[in-house]
Amino acid sequence: MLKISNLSVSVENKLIINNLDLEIGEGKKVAVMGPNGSGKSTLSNVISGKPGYNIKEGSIKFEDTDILKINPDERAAMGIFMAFQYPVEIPGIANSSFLRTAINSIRKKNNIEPVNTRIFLEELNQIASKLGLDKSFLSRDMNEGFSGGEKKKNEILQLLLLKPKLCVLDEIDSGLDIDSLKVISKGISEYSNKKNSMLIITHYQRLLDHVIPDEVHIFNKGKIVESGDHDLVKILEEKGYKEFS
Amino acid sequence: MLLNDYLNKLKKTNLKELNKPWLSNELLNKELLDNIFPDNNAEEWKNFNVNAFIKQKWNLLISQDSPNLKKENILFKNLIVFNNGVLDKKLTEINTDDKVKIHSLQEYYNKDKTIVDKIYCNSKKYSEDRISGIIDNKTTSLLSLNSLLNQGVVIEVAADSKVGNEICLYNQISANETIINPYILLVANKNSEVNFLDLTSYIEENNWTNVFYEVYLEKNSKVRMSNFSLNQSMNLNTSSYNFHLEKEALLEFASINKGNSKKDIRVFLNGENSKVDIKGMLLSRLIENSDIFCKVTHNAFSSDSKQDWRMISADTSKTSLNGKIKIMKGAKNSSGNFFSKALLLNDKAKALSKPELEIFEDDVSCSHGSSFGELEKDKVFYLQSRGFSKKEAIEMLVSAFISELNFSDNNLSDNLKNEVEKMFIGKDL
Repeated sequence: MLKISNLSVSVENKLIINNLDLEIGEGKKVAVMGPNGSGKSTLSNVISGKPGYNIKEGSIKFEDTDILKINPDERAAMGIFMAFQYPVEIPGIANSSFLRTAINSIRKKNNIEPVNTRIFLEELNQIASKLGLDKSFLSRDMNEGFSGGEKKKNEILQLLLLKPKLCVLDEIDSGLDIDSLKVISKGISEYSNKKNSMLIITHYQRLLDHVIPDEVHIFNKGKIVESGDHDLVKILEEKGYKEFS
Repeated sequence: MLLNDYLNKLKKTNLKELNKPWLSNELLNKELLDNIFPDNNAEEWKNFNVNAFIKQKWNLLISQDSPNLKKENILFKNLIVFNNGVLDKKLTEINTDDKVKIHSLQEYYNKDKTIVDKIYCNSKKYSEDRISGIIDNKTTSLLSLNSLLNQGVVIEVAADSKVGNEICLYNQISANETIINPYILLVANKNSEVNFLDLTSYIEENNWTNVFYEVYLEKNSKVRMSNFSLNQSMNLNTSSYNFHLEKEALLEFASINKGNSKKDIRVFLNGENSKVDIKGMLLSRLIENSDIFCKVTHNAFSSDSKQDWRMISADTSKTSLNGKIKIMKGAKNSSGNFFSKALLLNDKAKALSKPELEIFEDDVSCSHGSSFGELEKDKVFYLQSRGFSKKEAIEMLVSAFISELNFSDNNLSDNLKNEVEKMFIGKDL
């Protein structure tokens, strides 16, 4: 589904990603783990199309289309979704209104009619309830005054609603208490199937105890330094990132 | 006739011929006539291009042109119509069971001469007392035009009455290259309650509307006044709104200032526990200059004021705001707050905000704050990552910005939404 080849990315002349090759097959869950400053968030931002990065060389293909010159909104319409490490607050826009506009923007780009309001609200309430979110959560302004846990749940709520093909989860577990982590993990696991793929970016083992990845890559200084299966997570937890520098 | 020609003629004639007995003092009349135009040296005018009106030749309407108003398009149960600043009695329709009465200033003066205390007949009435001791009446000089050139209208709300439906003060501008000088005196008598919508609709281009309101809120009265204009385009606007609040009176004033427009808003909290809540939006695009001077003077114990402003500047335009809170001796236990937030949509657009506090009493609480910024790139990207195009993302963020004001008058909210949409037409964002 996603194929990254020989990718090098710099910011202000500093090389952040260095000749990276990474492939995520359809239905696969791939974890990328790494210490602070290893380039993990840059990777997720570049996949989603955030401006400000200098792509020095390489390509990112999503379903065989090179996406590097495609706008972020068009990537979203193709089925790429990033759950943000730090979701932004937008006072003045109600959460539910934002969600409906988002889903309709994507549908419009795919030549699909706008969502039926009743069906949308039913599904939205259902997902919110699954994530343990109160109905009032949907009428509140977008992320304004939300706790860290609520913001992350809102990201997963959007994921479940927009139903992307590729989910890029950028440290979705940071700042979560145990109960919230379980709820979010459950949401991710239930969504995961043979048709969609996941790139899970994290520092820690704890999320990967709930969402079992098919592949684990250790990222350092902008490149993969070790790859393996779920067992690599346990080794990493014992030895720390220093062993893989 | 041209404005300057008429003013020169007035200087040579006996002002008694104006048939305005309240302007009987020759000395004061001379002051009015000698003090017509402001200049950019005054602090309150330094951000507005006075040459926009001083260097132009303006026609003056001596007799009223026939109206061209399609009344069916205006959906207000209570409608007071002004054609080019002059009351149109035929089109005015008030259904308030005598709770609201409209008089010409002359009629009112003949009936009750005490109104002379309220009428503008002294060029120093709204002057600025500088810390240096200078009384600067240049700042309000344009009011001389209204006072001298307009017959004036008094709108009076009866005591102990509540007017259910909003009253639209509809000023239709159908002249050309003409100065329009309405002078409107609103009196909300004690225990009354009324909502006004001050709406100026431009049918023609290149006019200068110079609007002058004096609003008196007697004891325990409540007035809500909203203000915006339609199709302002190339027309120039200078307006002066002056509110006087007695004990327990409450004023809510909301305004959209756009285009080449300057509004001066002065509120005098003269009675105990009087309160004013001001919300306003300044918009500018292209090369426009949208300017506000807003001053609240606390003259009484436990008076309360709030100013909440938003500004959006696009293209190479400029918004500017001078917000002043003055707490006078005797106004203990008073509270004055000013806040403004400016959004710049272009790196060549400008926004200026200057809060000022002048406090001459102890035991008061005042705050002021201003912030400026562009749209946050992270927010634009976040919305794009959810499928919004860049243009849609920017429009949504601007829409979120304007919704912070939360106008209580839907006419105002709708107009603001339309005006902001105009800022994006044809823009490649």
